[in-house]
Amino acid sequence: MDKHPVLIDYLLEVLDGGSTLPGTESEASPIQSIVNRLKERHPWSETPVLEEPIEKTLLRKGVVADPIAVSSKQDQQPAITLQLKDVDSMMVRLCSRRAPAPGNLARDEWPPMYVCARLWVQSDLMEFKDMLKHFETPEAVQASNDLLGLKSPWIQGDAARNCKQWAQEVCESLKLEALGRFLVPVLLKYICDRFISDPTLVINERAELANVFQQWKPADAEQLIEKQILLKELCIGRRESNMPAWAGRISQTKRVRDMKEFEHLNQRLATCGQSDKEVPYVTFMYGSCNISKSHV
Amino acid sequence: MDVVKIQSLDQDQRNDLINRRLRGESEQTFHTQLKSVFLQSPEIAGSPFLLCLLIKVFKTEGTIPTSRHHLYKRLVQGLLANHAVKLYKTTAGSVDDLMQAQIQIFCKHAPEFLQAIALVCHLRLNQRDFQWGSREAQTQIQTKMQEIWSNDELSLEDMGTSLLEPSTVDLLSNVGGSQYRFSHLTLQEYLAAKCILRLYYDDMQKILDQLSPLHDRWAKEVAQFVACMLPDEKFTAFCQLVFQNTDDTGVHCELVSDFLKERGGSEEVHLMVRNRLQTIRGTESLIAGLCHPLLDLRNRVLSEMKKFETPPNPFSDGTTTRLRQIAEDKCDVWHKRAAAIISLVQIAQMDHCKKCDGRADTLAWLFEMLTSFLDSRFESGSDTNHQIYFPLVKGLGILLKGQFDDQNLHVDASSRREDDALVLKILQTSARLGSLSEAIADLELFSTPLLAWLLDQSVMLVDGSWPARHVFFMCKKISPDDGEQVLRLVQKLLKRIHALSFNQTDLDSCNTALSCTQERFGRKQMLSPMLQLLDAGEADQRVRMLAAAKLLKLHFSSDLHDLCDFCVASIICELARCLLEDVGHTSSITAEGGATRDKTLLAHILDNICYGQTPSSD
Repeated sequence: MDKHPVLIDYLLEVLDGGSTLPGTESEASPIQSIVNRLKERHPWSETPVLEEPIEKTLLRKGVVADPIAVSSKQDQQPAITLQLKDVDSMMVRLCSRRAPAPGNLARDEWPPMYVCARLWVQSDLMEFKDMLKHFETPEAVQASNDLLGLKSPWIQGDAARNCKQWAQEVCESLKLEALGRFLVPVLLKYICDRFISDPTLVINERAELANVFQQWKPADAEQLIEKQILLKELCIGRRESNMPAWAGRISQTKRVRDMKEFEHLNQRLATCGQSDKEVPYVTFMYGSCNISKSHV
Repeated sequence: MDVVKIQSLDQDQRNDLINRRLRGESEQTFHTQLKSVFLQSPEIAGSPFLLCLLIKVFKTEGTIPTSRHHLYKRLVQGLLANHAVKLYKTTAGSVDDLMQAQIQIFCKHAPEFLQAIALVCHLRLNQRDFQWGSREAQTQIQTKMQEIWSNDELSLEDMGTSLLEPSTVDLLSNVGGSQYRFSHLTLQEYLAAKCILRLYYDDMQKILDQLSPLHDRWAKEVAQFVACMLPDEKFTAFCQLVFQNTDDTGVHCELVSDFLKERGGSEEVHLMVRNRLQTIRGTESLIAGLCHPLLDLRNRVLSEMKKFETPPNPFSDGTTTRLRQIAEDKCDVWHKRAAAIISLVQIAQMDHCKKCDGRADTLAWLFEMLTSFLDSRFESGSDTNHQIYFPLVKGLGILLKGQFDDQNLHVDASSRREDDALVLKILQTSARLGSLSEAIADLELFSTPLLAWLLDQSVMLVDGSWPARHVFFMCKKISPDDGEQVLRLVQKLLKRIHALSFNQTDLDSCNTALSCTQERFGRKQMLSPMLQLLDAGEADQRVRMLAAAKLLKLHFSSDLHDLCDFCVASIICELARCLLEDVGHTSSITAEGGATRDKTLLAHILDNICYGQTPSSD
């Protein structure tokens, strides 16, 4: 690319300036359109204008879709592994030094940087708000949401349909050097949320996860404590210790169970009337309970 | 479909429910008894279902049970007695001696029958609903019940007929056809626990076998009932057996801790839990958890430490020493060092660590780290060291203000006074302050002794080495009753703005501080010191003073007239003339247009502050 200074200048001007890419609005291909414009704009240049370097630059910038990537995206696996590794290597960089300024990163590094920043926010060890703002793009937000939900394209498979495959993929992702550490609380939150949504439905899912994590051979003390905490969570859920947020959650779970129990009692109340005599001991009155309605 | 969630009752709702069910003197007695129950088991008093049961038992017996299993025991007894009377009245019309005998036999054996159903359904078949009277029931429930039914007086079929077929006892509900279930899952769990104890009371291992794995959702609540119903010595033996089972995660420690919470403390078992958890976690794992980059994981480990008080003394067993080493090791990654600092201060805040002076030591260590922070930053030239500042300040905040993220730890007033004294001592004895002053500013620390000390340090306040934002904070906090201190602070603030070394980045903070002071204490405090400073220093310094006067909308002539100083106006005019000349000389070095513009601007300001009028268009 160094042999085409005119081309590079022009491309960067167009791409970084945020203007519409020449030719994209017409029917001509973007690459051909750029070549034509370059020839019009710099007729004096002796540098040959070739399509190949333009195409490479556009691909790198993500302006046009890579046909190879598009075809490989259909069978997903290779591209996803690569993406997790991309974020992992970015995370390794962030672990060892300060976050780079946006100007020091190529545009295609912004989404993984945003994903890393979203994960780093959970550390509470430094401020990441500015960093999040700088690197935020709709694609990056979507990508990080998918990762925080342990969903495709990051984690293949569906926990509800094929739990074993999903659990194995999650376990593999935890083995990543840096990113793996940040996925532990994501997984813990996932387990809590699933448990709260329906404690009985996720029993198999939890058991499958527990089986997979039992096989995990921790590489160091950090991974060992992660494994212990994850398994403890899978077995009994976090206890009501001294964390109000969690205490609320676990109580909520109990309440859901109580609610289901009371559903039946309420039916009985409806049939037997509400007098103390007719429904001894197990009387239950809506009016005396603190009931909040919600859509689950 | 809408789903409702039943919340715990709050105080008002609880009182309302009690008031509607109990009236008169008994209500007061109930409240008195409930208080002690609430202290021991808040869940009982908060749950609408359990509170209704408590009221019912109280109505019958005049007292309320203090534990959950006692409450369920009374409930089952009462329901069965009612059912027996109804049952035999219906068949015989009246209760004669023969019927009375039958009632007694029924009441004696019915609990065993219910317990057997509960055990089979809950732990053997893991189900809520069961069938009775059908062929399927013969093979499923009754066969299994037969294994534990050893009653010669009444057969299973007879009991089933008495309890289920004529009308359902209130403990059980018909859910269609020959399908039944216990009215509440906890009833089934309680009865299953009773059955286990009745069958295997002398063999703890067999009890445990019935409940394994303890964390299974079908076994957990039953185990809780079993543990609470065991006498002390058997409970200890039971817990010993629990801990002999394999557990690499700490699940059993949590479960036994729940037992202890409900049934009350047993020091021996507490110790067992602590030792077990310490063995499972191990030192390396514990340190790794405390230095983990993520808050959630650190909080879980810290939460365990706080809850189980393990290790019992982290300040003497090497845990905190190791954390300090990590925090001080400049070769380690920044996030590990930062996490070590935050975890260390959180440990220092834990109740069980207070007796060992850990908090005071940690505070002193933090001060030391902050004091040496700037030096080490310059020495290493490393960016990573910069990232240690955030946790150091946050850590200091946690220690001094009692912040503990969402864990609601508070430092009591006496500790706070000790902290003030310690901060002051450190400030007085430190030759250099390093980043300590910045940390104090970030944390918005304020106390009267701290203010007095700072006012004595005129150099630091005036030369800009003390953060301007903290000076502003002090202006906000200083008490109006202390007139002398207010005046001194205003003087220092004005001198700072006037100083040759004034840093323009402090301008906003200083201006806000001036406005705040004027708003709180009036403008008269400022006029005199400002007038003196207008007469001193280079043109730039005097211009800054005038700008400050303009900001505060001071009109020297009229304001000082109020002070009966009639010659002030002429002094101001003279000062203004000199200043304009000086500015003219200074600006002549720069572009001609710039000098003219500066002079015009100054003339405008001067007219405004000297005479309180806008200048003429000339």
